[in-house]
This record gives sequence, C-alpha cells and structure tokens, in this order.
Amino acid sequence: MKASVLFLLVVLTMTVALGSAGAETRLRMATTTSTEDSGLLKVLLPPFEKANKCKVDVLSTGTGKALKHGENGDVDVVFVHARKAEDKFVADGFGIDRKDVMHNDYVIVGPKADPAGVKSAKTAVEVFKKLAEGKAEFISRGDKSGTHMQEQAIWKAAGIEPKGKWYVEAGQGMGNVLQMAFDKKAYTIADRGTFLTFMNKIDLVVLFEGDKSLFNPYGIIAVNPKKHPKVNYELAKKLIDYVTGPEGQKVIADFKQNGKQVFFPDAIK
Amino acid sequence: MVNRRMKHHKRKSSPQRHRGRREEQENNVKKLCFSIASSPHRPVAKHGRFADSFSYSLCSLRLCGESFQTRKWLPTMNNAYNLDDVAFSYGTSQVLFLERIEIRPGEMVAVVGPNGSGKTTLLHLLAFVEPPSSGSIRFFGEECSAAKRLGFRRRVGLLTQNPYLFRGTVMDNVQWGLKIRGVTAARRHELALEALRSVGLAGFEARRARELSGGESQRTALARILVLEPEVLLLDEPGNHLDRESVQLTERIVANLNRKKGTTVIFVSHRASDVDSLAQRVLHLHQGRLDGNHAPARLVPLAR
Amino acid sequence: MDFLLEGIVAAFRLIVGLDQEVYAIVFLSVRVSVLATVYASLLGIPPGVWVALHQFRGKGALLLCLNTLMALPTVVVGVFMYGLISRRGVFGELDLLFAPGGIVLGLTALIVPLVMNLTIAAIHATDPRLVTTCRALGATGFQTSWKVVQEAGFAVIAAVVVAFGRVISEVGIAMMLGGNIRGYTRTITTAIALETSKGEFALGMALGIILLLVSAGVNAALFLLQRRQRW
Repeated sequence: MKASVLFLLVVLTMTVALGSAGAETRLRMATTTSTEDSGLLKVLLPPFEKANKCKVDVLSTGTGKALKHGENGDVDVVFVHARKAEDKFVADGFGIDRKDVMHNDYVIVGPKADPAGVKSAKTAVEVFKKLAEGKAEFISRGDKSGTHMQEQAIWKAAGIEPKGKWYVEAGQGMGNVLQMAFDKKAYTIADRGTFLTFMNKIDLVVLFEGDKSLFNPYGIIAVNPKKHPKVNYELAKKLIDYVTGPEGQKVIADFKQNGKQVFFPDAIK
Repeated sequence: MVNRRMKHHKRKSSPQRHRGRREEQENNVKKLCFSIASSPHRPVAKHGRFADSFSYSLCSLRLCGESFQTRKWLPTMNNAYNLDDVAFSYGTSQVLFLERIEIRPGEMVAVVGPNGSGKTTLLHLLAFVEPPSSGSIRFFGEECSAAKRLGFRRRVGLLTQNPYLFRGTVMDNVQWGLKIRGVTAARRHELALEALRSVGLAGFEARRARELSGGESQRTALARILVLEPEVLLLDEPGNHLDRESVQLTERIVANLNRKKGTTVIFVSHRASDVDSLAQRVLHLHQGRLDGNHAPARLVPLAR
Repeated sequence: MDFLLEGIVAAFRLIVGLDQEVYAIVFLSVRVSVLATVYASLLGIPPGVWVALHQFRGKGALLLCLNTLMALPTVVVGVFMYGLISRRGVFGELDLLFAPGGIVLGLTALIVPLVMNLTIAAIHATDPRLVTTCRALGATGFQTSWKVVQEAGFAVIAAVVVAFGRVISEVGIAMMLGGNIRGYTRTITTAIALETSKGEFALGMALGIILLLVSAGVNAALFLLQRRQRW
C-alpha cells in the first residue's frame, strides 16, 4: 500500500509541475520553418525574453498554417514572409500593426552540372521556362509556404502550369526539400538562409539569383485582440517594437551563416 | 438424559414430556434469533453454547417418524432457510424449481441427485451468490432482498467443488475473508493460524497455495471459510477426487462444527456412505425438482 | 554504416555530456508519457474490469467499438483534440494547446481504448471460478473487482506497459497539440522529426537511441517489479 501512495504523490507532483511549467508569461509566435531553421530566432529572442521576463514560444510551420494559427487566435503574433497573404490577413481584420522587419532573397539551386542550362538565364521567369522545356526535375515545397507561394508567382508570370513527372510536389519543409533535391540531383528554389545552413551537407550550387521576383520580405503582425480578446496584445506589441527597433535590427544585421549575412534589416530606413 | 440428547440428535422424543423446558428454551431461542438477526458481521463463535441448547430444544420438539413435514413449530423459532416457490433459470431454460424447502438450524442435510439435477445451483442460491429468478428465500426468518443479500452472504460459507485458491501463500488465502471484513492485520493472522490448525494444516501458512496437493487445497479452502465462522456451511461434493484420509478429515471437521457450534450444514454428495453416516435428512433432486425429503435409509447415530 | 556509427557516437556524447537541451527533451517525453499512461489507466482499467465481469446487451457492440478506436490513426485523434482545445474550441479557455497539458490530453485520449481493451482481455482470461469464490467469501462488488485485477496480475501490468510504449513513441499528437516548441513542448520524437528534416541525421539518430534506452529502462523496471511481487 505504501508504494502506491508514494507513486500517487509523484504523479500528483508531476501534474502540478506540468501545469505550472508555463507559470511565467508566455508569448506565442507563429513563424515559418525557414525562419526558425535559419537560427536567427535563437539569437534574436533571448534579449527580449530577458528584458521582459517572459518566454517566447516559437511555433514553426508553413506560412499558410502560421497565418491560420493567427486567425484562430492560437498565437499572439505572426512572423512570416508572404506579403500578399500578410496583407490579406490584415485586411480581413485578423492582424494589426504590421511592420516590415527584414528581407532576404530566394535562390535557385541545382546540381553543379546544370543539365537544363539555367545558369545562362537573365530572369527568374526565363529559368523556369528552361526547366519546363527541358523537363528537368524540380522539387517544389508544395505546402503553401512563403517559398511555395513565391515559386507559384513566378510560374504564373511565365504563363506555365507546372505538371508532369519532373515537377515534384514534396509537401515538406525547406530542409527536407533540399535533401530531396540533393538526393535526386534536381533543381529547387530555396531561401538563402536555409540554403546557407545546408550548404555544407549537400552538394548543390546557386545557379541563379538577384532577380526582383526573388525578393523575400519578412513582416511581423500582432493578432487582433478585437477578434481574440485572450491574446497577449501588450507583449506582442513590445516584441514588434523590439524587432523593428535599433536593438533587434542590429542583431538581424549581425547574424551570419557560414560567414555570410543572411538577412537584411528593413525596419529602419 | 440431557447429555445423551445433546449427542444423538436423531433420537426420537415426545414433545409432551418437555413442555416446561420448552418454554424456557423459547426465551433462549428468542434471544438467539434476535442476536443472529442483528449482527451479520460478527463471528458467531459466541452462539455455540446457545446453539447447543437450541438444537437440544429442537430435539425435544422433533416428531416421531421419518417425515419432518408436519410442523408443531413455535412461530418465533426461525428456520435457517425457508424456500418458497424458488425458481432459477439459466438464460431461457429453467434449471430449478422448488416449491417448499425448510432447513432447520443446526441440521445436517444432504442433497443428492443425478448430474444436472440442479444441486450446485441450489447451493449457490442458498449461499446467496446468485439471486433466484423468482420465489422467496428466508434466512433465519428474514426475507432476502437485494439490500440484505451481502449481509446474508457473509453468514454463509460455500465450499465449491474443486475450490479456487488465490495467488500467494496459504496465509494470504485464509485471511482474505477477514481482510475484506475489516479485521486488523494482527487479529487476522491469529485467527487464520487457528483455522489452519483446526483443519490440520498447522505450519502451512507460508506455503504457496498453488503448490498444494488436492487434499491440502481443499482443507485450505475450508480453513478460508471456517475462519469466518459461518452460521451455515455449504459443501459441494467435498469428497470428490480426494484421498480417503482427506475425506475423513473433512467429515470429522464438519461434523464437529455441527455438533459443537450448531452450524447448519448442507452438502451435496454422490457417495452413499457420506449421506448415510453424516446426514440427518436427505433431499433428492431430480431435473431441478424435489423428489423426496426423508431421513436416510439407515439411522446410524453419530458416534463421534 | 558510417551513419549509424556517427549516431551512436553523437548519442554517447550527448548523454555523457549532460547536454541540457537533450535532457530537457527527454524529461518532457518521460513526464508526458507517464502522466498519460497513469490517467489512461485510471480511466480505462476500472471500466474495463466492469465490462469484463458483467454480461449485458450491447457488450459485443462495445467490444467492436473499442477495437475500432484502438486502430484509429493518431492524426485523427490529434485533429479532434485540436478542435477541442484550440482557442476557438470548447476547451480553449484552458490554454492546453501548444503546452505540455495538451500533449498529455491527446495521448491519454489515444490510449484509453487500448488500455480498456487489453484489461478486458486480461480479465476474461482469469479463472471463471474466481468471481464465485470472492462473492461466496462475502466480498462487495468493489472488493471482488480489486481481487480479480490482482489475480489477473501480470496481464494488467502488461497492458499498462504496452500503453506506455505507445505514447512515448508518439509523434503526430505531440506535434499537432504541442507545436514542437523548443524547451517547452519538444519531445524526443518531435525533436527527431525536426532534426532529420534539418538534415541533422546524427543528432536525430542519437535521440532515437536515447529513446530506445528510456523505453528499455522502463520495461526493465516494470519487469523487475513484477518479479519481486511474485505475481
């Protein structure tokens, strides 16, 4: 009998501990996998957490899902990179106080051999046209992420609807997609940050960059307390101010991956 | 004469001679009935002495002849059991139908009949383990209702055929009945040891129950019941599959119990020898119905 | 072969080096799994015992139902629970989503049918004379049920161990309801999923090995307990 009493006490303590684990204020932020995977948040958030004695819970999913979380009120602030979707989010009244934070760009990567001859192209649209013509294997995110939406915008501009065995819709995160492209010796479009992270592990090279359509701006939006009264709007506002303020922007500018700057701050012009 | 009567219940005696005594016994009986009815959980040890004079007074009322159907019975004296139109169905088939059975306190009754005649079912009903599908059972004068069932059950001991012993030691088995009645650990241990001694299993407490022989298992199961001091003891084919020695030992214990403490005993048996030597009365069951209710063929006095 | 070796070396380094993040992850996994198993046992064993010991109309249908629930894919349970504890859901106020509490809730819901079903099987396997014996000795319904569980012994313990094994290796629910938040709701399994998606195979494998060790440890402890109690 004594053993079971002890056991029950342990369980009770664990339950209580579970509940109080989040006793300190927690701010929930939905962001994209690429942002989280880049490692930026690991350095950007701690100063804010310390200054405000709180913890920022980072939920990293695809852009679409992140915005959906904001719509449902399951998070307090959203930090994504899909301008059109963000604008719709605010227009629909789900978010307020949208601010530009930073930008980086997308790059088109592929095998060194470059069978489709993409290197010589002048615009992103031309690259995609060449890929479609040559039916070169291309891995798409296929998950309504910021990357995916950017890719789809280029296909639209090229007037092509990508279909066929060569166009692989992975439905996975950037890391997985890069892995897949490496394994299959295929092409893909990736944000520079993630690509730099993976550069050492996979043998793909940047074949095209710098086009305007590959511009990738990041925005931060607070979830509208009018729609979801329970969100921590005060703290969300503070986070936005920090990220777009001098301190946050400096951290962003100083963040380097493999010796190269990944993100370019936009908030202070 | 008094002494003889105590030992030999089967002696015929005429009622008139002991009318005076009867009145005196009436009061004792009233007291006894009251105390039995009002203390379902206390071991009945104390009643042993009363029970003696109880059966003594029964003897004095016993009618001549072999049939006990006619009742010259004082209404205050309660039968151990009164079954009225009791039926039991298993699913849709009726297994048992008994119009009227009376079992007097302190009686030793045998139930015989071919296989499938409902003997085991009858025992289960008498143990209040199953409720009858219809009809009423009165236990020491009280009608059995759903609320009272548990109380009655605790006053009856049922030794099943091929008894099931719990995992653990012999001690674990014997003291379980006391444990669920809330008896303290020390007292349980004490009573259990005593019970084991009475069945000849002294020193067996630490043995694993599952490692015992057939005879030892049955005696352990018996001890498990005896420690609870039941007012009624029901035995389902106690002599089956066992060696002669164990059978004799069980018989001795049970007869002793009946004599010393006035425990009512009802047992099912195939063996004519058991029936003849132990039973005061035999109930014949055939296809779920009572076929006869009479004293055994040979009235052999209890020599022990 | 390199892969595997890298993983084992990495695992060793992490365990011995008492890496804080890894230990936090392991501790969380164990904590949510133990709690879910305990709650599911409390919720599943008593009804299981009752169902096993009683005959009633619809018992067959109930058993069929349990079997179906047992085979339910975790994402279905996850989606359903998500609907309940999301801010827009009925239990949104409890703030369980994206917190360890949500994971525990989801895992418990997942394994209650499992525990109940296995308990019923364990009780059905006990001797049919047991109940009669208990009742004849004057046990109340509850006392009989408790004795039956004790006599079923190892079979019931086995049910609990199976349930634990199920939850500690669960990914879908932990991901959906926990959100895989670093330092808060990242379990071993979700961490493995994350690390492998980032290409950190060695780390993923290291975590996998740790998971195996934890699972084996729990199983061994329960096995020893069973031996000592001489079920």
